[in-house]
This record gives sequence, structure tokens and C-alpha cells, in this order.
Amino acid sequence: MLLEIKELTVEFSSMHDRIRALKNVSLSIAKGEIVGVVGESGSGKSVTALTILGLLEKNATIPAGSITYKGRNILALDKKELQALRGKEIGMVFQEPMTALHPTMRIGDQLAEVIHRHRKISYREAYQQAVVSLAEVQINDPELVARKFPFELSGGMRQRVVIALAMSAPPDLLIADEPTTALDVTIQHEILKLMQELSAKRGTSIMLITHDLGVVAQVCQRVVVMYAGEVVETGTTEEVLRQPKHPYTQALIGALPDLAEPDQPLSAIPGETPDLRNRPCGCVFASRCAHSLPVCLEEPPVLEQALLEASSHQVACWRRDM
Amino acid sequence: MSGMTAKPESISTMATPKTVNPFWYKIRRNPLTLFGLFLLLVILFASLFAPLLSSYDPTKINITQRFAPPSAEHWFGTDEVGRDIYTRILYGARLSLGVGVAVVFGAGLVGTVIGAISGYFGGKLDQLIMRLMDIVLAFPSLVLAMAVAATLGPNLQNAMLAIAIIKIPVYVRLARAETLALREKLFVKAAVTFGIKPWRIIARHIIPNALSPVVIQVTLDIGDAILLVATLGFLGLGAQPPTPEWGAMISIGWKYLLDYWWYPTFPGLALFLASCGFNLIGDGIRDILDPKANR
Amino acid sequence: MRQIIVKRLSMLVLVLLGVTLITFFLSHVIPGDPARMMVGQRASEETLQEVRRQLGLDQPVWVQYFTYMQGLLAGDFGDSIRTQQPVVDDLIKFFPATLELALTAFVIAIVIGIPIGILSAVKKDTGWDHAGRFFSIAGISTPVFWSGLIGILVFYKFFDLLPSSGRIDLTVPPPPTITGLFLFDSLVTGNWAAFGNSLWHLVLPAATLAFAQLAIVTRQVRASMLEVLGQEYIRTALANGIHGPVLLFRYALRNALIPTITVVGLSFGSLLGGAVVTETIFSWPGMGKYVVESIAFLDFPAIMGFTFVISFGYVIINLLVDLTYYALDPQIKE
Repeated sequence: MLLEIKELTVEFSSMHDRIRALKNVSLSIAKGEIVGVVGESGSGKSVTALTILGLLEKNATIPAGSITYKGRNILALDKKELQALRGKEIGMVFQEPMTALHPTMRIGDQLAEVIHRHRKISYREAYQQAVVSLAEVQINDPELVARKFPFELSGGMRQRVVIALAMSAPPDLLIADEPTTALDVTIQHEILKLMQELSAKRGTSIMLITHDLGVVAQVCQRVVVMYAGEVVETGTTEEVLRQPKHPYTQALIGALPDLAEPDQPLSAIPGETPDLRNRPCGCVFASRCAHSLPVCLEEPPVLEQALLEASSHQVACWRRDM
Repeated sequence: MSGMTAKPESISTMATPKTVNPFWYKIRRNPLTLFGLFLLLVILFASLFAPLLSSYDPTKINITQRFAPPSAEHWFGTDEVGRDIYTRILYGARLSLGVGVAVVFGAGLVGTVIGAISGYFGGKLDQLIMRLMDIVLAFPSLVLAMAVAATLGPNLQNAMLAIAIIKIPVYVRLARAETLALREKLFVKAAVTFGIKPWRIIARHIIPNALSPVVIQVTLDIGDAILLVATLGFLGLGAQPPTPEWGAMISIGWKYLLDYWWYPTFPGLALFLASCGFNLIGDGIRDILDPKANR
Repeated sequence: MRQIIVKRLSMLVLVLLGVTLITFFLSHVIPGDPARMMVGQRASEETLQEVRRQLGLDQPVWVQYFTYMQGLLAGDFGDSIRTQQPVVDDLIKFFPATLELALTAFVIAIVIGIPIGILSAVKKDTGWDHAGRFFSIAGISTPVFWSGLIGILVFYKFFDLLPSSGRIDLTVPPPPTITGLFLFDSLVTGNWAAFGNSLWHLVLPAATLAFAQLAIVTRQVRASMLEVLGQEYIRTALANGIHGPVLLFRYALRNALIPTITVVGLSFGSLLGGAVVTETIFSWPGMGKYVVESIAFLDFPAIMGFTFVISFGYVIINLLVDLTYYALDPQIKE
């Protein structure tokens, strides 16, 4: 197991209150696999990613849980060790390509700086490598692009550069936080394909964070469904999308527009996400669930196997046999 | 869909959300601002209660006591004609405070009105006014103030006028920027369609809504204005002796620095503390009101 | 880029024109009797009439302005009532001293101010930050004449370390005049005695003047750095393993410096104003001391000449700052 997150809890304290953004989050990623982390805004997916790399804001605390990478507990690392980890072992791609790159540094220099740092070669050699990296992310005319500034590139090209940056070392784990959300649909497809190919070629695992089930269906082997800072269901993509066990997952899939029936009204999930300052006692989804039982309001369900045969499919629901 | 809401977790596992007044919370977190507030209160106190805080007359001459060093009788010593410096500093506080506030408020008022008019009507008038402001801003502040004050004649009123003049362009620009934005807002456009006269629109709708950045600027400017008035006084262009203006006192006192060090030192200290107080507060207020602050 | 230069230059001309208008207004229109202003209170009635005629005060105002402008373009600011020399000659004589003082102060302010600003930003909200911010506010709040006096008290009277006046001891012959800047001239001619002595005299006044500048620089660098460090691209760099000095300088500072340059350039105005006061306190023989003495004498030609020259220089400096800004920001280049 490359990455194992066990019962991670993360809180943010502000002027008024304390927000528990993540509660008992557990997930794992094996070598070479592409795992999707799905959820709506506020579900805690980005927080999970930032926690792994130690990029949380100063007012964040981690009262419980562990994150193990290649056997090491990375929550216990000091600043220097964490800095050594970033980019070299674990890379990250952020959502907004428009602001992710340094505005007054040329593309080639930005890449060269990172490559120089990770691969222990001279800066000049690193620059040459930078051009090669640009070609690997399918950018045409890489020498020309290397001399340009970010504002001269389109969104899709910038995201390719960001991916190239993250894959410089190359790391064994790539975290991609909504890498295609800000891009056109046609570009989305290409970027995802690119990531898939890079993963296959280098054996890089990918933690793909998204709110788009279509993305999950396209590239992910396994999927983790999060809601309000908790993991509610996990399993192979096939298992979860074909036979969703958690009411939330079912509702998510049900909310997808069906191209075959264009006139059908879109179904939404009634209610609102809970206030993370005052988390409910029982199941976090209970207040919006159509199938809740009294026990759902009192006791939080535990993530356990859904069916006896498929050990990888787990769900956190008192009615897991539904 | 069950209409029940789930029970909240017990209090012991979660922090009690406090209802905190954000304004005081932020001030408390910044000791510098607190210190500034303290300084300001001291100065306010000194200026308000000057007659009570000292038994001496600030203008009474007492030659036998000239150049007396600090002692129990004269806490800050005496000047070249025997006047008690501590007392003069107290009365000077009134002057500096009053002058600083008057100048900045005056400049703020005039500048805001001009800026609002310029922004609202636009066109050639706007261009003309902005060029004029650019020209005034082209001069280094002190140099222009010196030139104006020297030309008008060296006294406190002219110094105040000179400083007000150099401070006006900033407010004109601020008010104009706000006006340009406000002009496009629906409630202003509505007022126009109702046939309300421009003067009324500017006075009732534009200016009151443009005040926020102006107020911040005013707090930041008072400290600077106090220093400028004192500097002009030091150069002989502001208040003239025997007025107990801090700058004027130093304009005479500095020549005696090596022999009677207390003479220029204490008024200067008062100036420093006054200016410091205003600047700290202004800084603190700006931090609090700044939406980008991610404290 | 060229378009921008042309536009800025035409603005420059307009503004300079405005500067002449204002100085003309101040020197000829406002005072009741410009002739009297020119010759001073002590001149005789005949001299007064003669000057009136020469000044063309019987001409309409716009003709007077035209004559004034002609004079300006020829570099003629009239004669100083006090020194009886052409004002322009006086100014040229005293210019190098002021330049040396201002430049030194500026360099000190930058060299010390930028690191403090960076430190303050990186260690935000810690003791370092509060100390840095207090230092910055103190610098802005301190009256320049007072800090100079305190400096003299401490370093001259108390510690007897530094001199309190002048550019160089009377016993040390000044270096031959190449630029008029003692430090440069003595260095270039290998005159170590003059160099050391000039430096010794320069320390206190330059430090006094620099103090206020420092405050402005520190405050701006801190604000800009904080702004930059909060940007997304810094987070990207961090996530890719960039940290420490490389992150700070190559990634953050270069962007933080861009608005800093603008603010620092504008603050040159306060530097020039501060020089007036500093030169007075330290008897530094520069333009500032000259104009203060002129004020006491009500020597209007000198006062206006000084005002014009300083403002002219200030406008040019601002133009240079603007151009530097455009040169540094690649987005505007295109």
C-alpha cells in the first residue's frame, strides 16, 4: 500500500468557532492505481489532499488519525522532511491553471527550477529536460513554449505545464485536485487521457479529486465517496457506480442527467449539507436521507463491507444491506 | 424524506462557539494598535485638561529661571525666557491636535466634494480637475507647502492652508474613484430618472456612500499633518513664537541643543508620540477594515 | 512599449508646464508686489521702480508669464537677494552636497529596509513582525529634525563618536571636484583622508534622513510580500518542493518588488523634503540649507528657484520609476 490514511480528523479554528472539516477519514491507494475521490464542495476532498502535503492553513489542527506513505507516518515529519517529500515523492496538481503558475517567470525556468531541485543535475541540463517534459505532456513546439510566460498560454496548455511540474521528479503519487474542472469539456478529456498515460508509463499512482462522476468512470479504478468530511462509500469504480450502496451515492448517480431521457426533470437531493461547526451525532447524511432509521440519528455508522464476497466495496450505512 | 434533524454532538467534544465582536477581537490581537490608542488618549487628556495638569502659565516670562534643567519644579525644564516647557507642551497639544484634525477634515471635505463633482460630471471638467490635481501632486509635499506658506506669509493659518492644499488631491482621487463606481449603480440611475437635480444626487447619494475610504485616509493623514505643521513651524513658516506650538518651540530650542538639551528634546518627543499614536491607530484600522486580511 | 514612453513624456511636459504655472502664480501673482519681493525690504525706491520696469510689471499677466518662461528655459531664476548671485549659480553650487546626502540615505533605506520587510512578512504576527512594524511606524512618525537632534545628542555629545556639522573637517582639504560628491571624488583620486573624514561626517545626517525612508520601504515590502505569499503560484511552488531562499527570492520577492519600486520612487519626494530639514540641523551645505536661509531672509527668487528645480527633478524621478515598472512587468511589455 503506497498511501494509507487512517481515521484522519482535521479541524480549523477561527475567530468564532471550530470547524471539523474531516472526521475519521480512511482511504488507501496502492502502487500504480488511480483512485477517485468524489464529493460536492465542502465534502473535505481538498482538505484531505492538502493535509497529505502539509499545506493546510495555520489555523488547522489534526487531533486524530495518521497518514502513512511508504511506511512512514508523514504527519510526524518535521518541516525539512516534509519539504523533501513534496514534489519528489508526492506531486500535486491544483484546480485553477490560470493562477497556478508564476506570472513573471518563463515556463522553461519554472520547470527547470523544479527539475534542478529534484534530479540533482545542473540548471542548464535541467532546462533542457524541461523542454523534454513539455513534449511529454503533449505540448507542441516545446522550445518556443518554454520561452513564453504563462499569460501567453491557454488554460489547457497551462494545466499541462502544471502536470509537467508535478511529475518532474517523477513522484510515486500524484494528487490531482479537480484538474479539469476549470477547462473546456473537450480539453478535459485530453488532460485526463494524458494523466492516464503518464500513470501507466511511470507507474505513478493518482489520487484524482473530482465532483464529476463522469471523470471517475473514465479513468479511475477505485473510488472513494465523501460527504461532509466523512467517507461514506468506497470500492472499485464498477462496484460503486453499478451498485451504489449508500443513499448519498445513489442520489448522486440519480442526479445525473440522462441523455436518453432529455425531458425528465433533474432530481436533486433535498436539504442542505450540515453545519460543520455543529456536526450531527449520528450519520452525517441522516437529515437528508429518504431511508433513515432512528438509529441513524443516534449512532454514526462505521465503514464496513457491504456484501460478503466483494471485500473492496465498503459503505458507512446502517442499511448496508439495501 | 424524514423531517427530523439529528441531535448535535455533546458539548464536551466540540468547542463552544463564542459570540465574539470581531472588531474588539482584532484590536486585542494587535498590541501595537492598543498602544496607539493609549497614546492618543494621553494626548487627548493632556489637551483637554491642560490648565488642570499644570499650575504654570505657558506664556509667562520669568527671566531668573531661564534655561533651568528638568527638576521637581520644572519637569521638563524651562526655555530661554524662563517659561515652563512641560506646560507649553500641554498647551501645544491642544494646538497640534486641533490643527491636525482641522487641516485633514478640511482637506477631506473639500477634496471629497471636488472629487465627487469631477467623477459625476465627467468630461472636460473632470479632465481639468484631474490635471490640476496631478500638477499639485507633482511637487514634493513639504517643498510645495514651504513655497505656499512662504508666499502667503509666515503664520499658523497660512501654514494650515498650505498643508490642506497639498493634502486635497488624495481625497479628490479617492472620492472620484468611488463616484465613478457609484454612478453606475441602480439607485443612482433611478434617482436620475426621477429628475432629481445633480447637486442633490451628489450630496445625498454619492458622497455619503463614498465616505468609507475617505475616513480611513483621514485617520492615516492626521499624524502626517501634525508633523507637517510642526516642520513648517520649525522652519519658521508656521506658528510664530511665543505661541507654544511644538515645532515653533524646537525652531528656537534646537540651537541650544548642546547646552540645554531638554529644550528641543521634550517637544520633539511629544510630536513623536502624537504622530505615532495616530499612525498606529490608522494602521490598525486599515488592517481591520481590509477585506484581504487573512488573519 | 514605445507608445507608453511617448504618452508618459507628453504627460511630463504638461505637468512641468503646470509646475511653472504654479511657481509663477506663487511668485508673481499672489504677492502684492513682486518687485518688492525681488529686491527685498531694504532696497531703495529707485531700484524698486527700475526692477518694476525690467520685470515688465506694466505688461498684462500672460506676457509676464511668457517672460518668466523664457527666463526659466534659459536657466534664469533671477538673482538671490541674499547672496546677490544668480539663483541658478547658487543652486548648482549646493547641488552636489544634497545629492550625496540623498543618495546615501536612499541606499541605506533600501539595503536595510528590504530585509526587515521580508523578515516581517515571513514571520508574520510573531515578535519579529511586531518589532518590525513598530520600527516602521516609528520611522514614519518621527519628525526628521527631532531624530537628527537626538542623533547629535547621543553620538556627538554623549559618545563623542560622530561630528555634528559640516561635510568635512576644516583641517582636511576636500578632494578635487570631479562630481562634487566627496565620497566618489576622494575614492577616485585615492585621497583616503578625505574619504574617511567625509564618510564620518556623512553617517549621522544620512542615517537621520534614511530613517523615515526606511519606514516606508519596510512597510511596503512587508505588505507586498504578504500579498505575494498568499498567491496560488506560491502554493504551487511549495507543493513542488520549492522552499527557503529560492522560494523567497526567486519566486516571491521579484514580484513583491514591483509595487515596492513605485512606492519607493514616490517616497523620494519626502526624501527631498526631509533633506531640507536635515541639512539645517547638520549645517550640511546643500540646497536645503540654502532654501531655509532664504526663507528666513524672505528671498523669494531663491525660494521659487529651489521649488522649481526640486519639483522638476521629482517629476523626472517619477517618470523613471514608471518606466522601470513597465520594464519589469512582462505583461505590460507585450
